Parts: sequence; C-alpha cells; structure tokens
Amino acid sequence: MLAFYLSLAQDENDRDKFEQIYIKYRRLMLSAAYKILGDAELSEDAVHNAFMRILNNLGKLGEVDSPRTRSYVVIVAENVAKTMYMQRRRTVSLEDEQLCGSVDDVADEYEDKSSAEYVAAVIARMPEKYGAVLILKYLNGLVDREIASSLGLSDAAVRKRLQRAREMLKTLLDVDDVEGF
Amino acid sequence: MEKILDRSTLVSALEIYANNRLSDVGEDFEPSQRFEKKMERLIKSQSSLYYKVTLTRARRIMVIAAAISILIASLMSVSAVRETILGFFVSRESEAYSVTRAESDAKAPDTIETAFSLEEFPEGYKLSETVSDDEMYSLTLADGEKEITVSQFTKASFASAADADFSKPESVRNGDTDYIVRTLDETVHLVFERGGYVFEVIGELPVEDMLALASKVSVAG
Repeated sequence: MLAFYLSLAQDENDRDKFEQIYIKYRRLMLSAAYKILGDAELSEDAVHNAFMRILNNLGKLGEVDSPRTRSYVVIVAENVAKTMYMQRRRTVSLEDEQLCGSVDDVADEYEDKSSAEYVAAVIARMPEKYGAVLILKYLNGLVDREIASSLGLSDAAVRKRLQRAREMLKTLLDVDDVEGF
Repeated sequence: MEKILDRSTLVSALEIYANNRLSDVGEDFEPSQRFEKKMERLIKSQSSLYYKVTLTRARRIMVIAAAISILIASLMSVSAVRETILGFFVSRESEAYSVTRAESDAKAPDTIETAFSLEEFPEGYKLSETVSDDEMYSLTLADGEKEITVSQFTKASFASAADADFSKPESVRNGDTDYIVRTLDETVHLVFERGGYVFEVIGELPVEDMLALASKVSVAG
C-alpha cells in the first residue's frame, strides 16, 4: 500500500539505507516521540509518519551511523509528535519565542566567547524550534524545501523560522554576522 | 571592526548542541508488534519493488498467479457486503488522523480471512503488484505512468498512509458507504470499512473516479 512513498526510494542503496535507519533508530525515535506525547500508540503513529517524511529526503542523508543522521531522525520524529500533541491539545504552540534560561549565565561560564562550546550553549538557550532548523540547514545541508517536508511546514514558514533563528543567534552572540548565513 | 562568527565554529557548535540535546533521549522504548509489523511491511514492499525491476520472469509468474486468484475470487463472490458500520471516524476535534475502534470491532477478523476482489479496474489500468501478509492484502494497479493501490487491513493493523499534517479529512457518503477522503496535490486517499475490514485506496484519479473504484471492492461473505 505504500508504493507511492516507496517509489521515492530511488534505488537499492536508498532502500537498504532506509532499512538500516529503521533498525538503528526506531527505538530512539519512539522514545523521543513518547517524551512528548506520553502515549505509546500515538508515539508509534508519530514515528510511522516520521519515517514517511524521512523517505522523502533519504538521498540527502549521509552515513546511517552518524551523529548528523541520528540528530535528523530525532528532529523529524519530535516534530511530528509535537504537531500531534498541539493538534490534540488545541494549543497554538508548545514553544514560544522565549529563551530557555539566561544567556548571561552562559556567558559567565565560558571565557572564550568565540569557542564552539560557548556558541553551542547559547544555541541551547534558544527555543528548540530554532535550534532544529539550524541543525537541518547547516549540519544536514538541507535546502528550505527539504526542511519544510521534514518538519511538515510550508517553505515560507521555514524561511521565516530560519531568519528569526539567525537574528536571535547574532543578537545573543553579539556578532554582526555569521559566515555563510 | 565587524565581529563575525565563522562557519566552521557554527557547524562545530551545532554538532555539540545536537549531541547534547539527544543525550537525555533513551532507547528503551519497546515497539509493539503492530508497529514492527507495519514497518516490516514497508520494508517488504521496498524489496518487492526492487524484485519487480530485476526479476521480470518471477514477476510475470507472480502477476499471473495474482490475476488467476482475483478471477477465481470474483467468480465466487456473492453480492458485496454493503453494511457499513462506522467503526472508525476522523476526529474533527483535532486535525490529527485518529482511528477509533467501535464496540463492533470485537467481532472483526484479526487476520485476512477473505481477500477482497475488484469487479473491474479503471480504464487502462492493469494489475502490477500484490503484497500480503496475515493482516494486510494489497493490490497495485498501473497504467504505465500512474499507480493506484487498494489495500485491505484488519482493523487492528490499520494505519493510514496519508500524512495528516499535509491534508485534512473530509467525510463523504457514497451509496451506503461512508468514506474518509484526503487529497494531497494530485493524490487522493480514501478510507472506508467493508465486510469487517478497513480499506485504503490511494491514487491519482479524481475523487469521483476513486469513489467509483472503491464501490467495486467486494469481500465475499
């Protein structure tokens, strides 16, 4: 019954890759979805939908056993789960534009404000949705359309989210620009 | 002097951030049999597509066998079981696609005891593939460019292939059957219940033609 989706898997390598991703990450994805939904059956539905989305972008994923692929599949599963959660609870958003904690505290912890560790700590203070799009864009190398299909958003919403994420990051880091932004 | 964050620092920072945010996600969730079967089916179907491309002789044998099965099933079928118990409904309170089991499901078969038959195919379409297991039976029809998939599920195993985030469900009554219709771009998804099973039809035909095709699905009983 899934011929339409499976036809997206272009060749044998893609199909092997999909199976490997399933075997390796299904429990992780289910755990991530369960953390949000708190319901086993709903979590399985969310991860099933997440695998459908992963099929769409299989060609853009690198090595199966890599931190980037691991991060990607969890972001997709979390996003589907969050959408389901919001739809069921009728809430507008789980996340808002608020920072998750004080950036001043982070600044006190790190002497070298140009280190990757400091930048990572600052990103962790940003709303998760911004961190997620930055990962998909700059770690996974997805274009806006691919991010949109991974997260179930419109292209315009992705562009807006990326723009806000970049602006927030520049403000928090007190830099004028980020190379390649 | 302009302060610039270099790209390599950003990438390294995102790697650290990505690893940290996953550190508290366990892997202790044990998938249910239903989930594993659904995903096995997906993987099996993938193999089947490859099989289709590479082993044409085997494919011909498979298609001929499936065609004979359908012919026999069609000849033996009595009038279709039309009573539709709305054992599932789309939750309109949320936009999420949820299938709720009704009390009548207690009597629903938990395996595919009788595979469905199609009285006729849409013009130009021929049988191209079958996939089956204990809880699912699926036919794919193709006209050379497009495909239509008709799948029969036990109620317990059903999970729609429609992406709930990209399409909204509509309830449509046609004849004496209630259908849940989703349209995404050119693709139409129909879900309905017949003979104690849940059916899903996916194809790129107009909704009216898809409903006409769905009306030709029968379960001998």
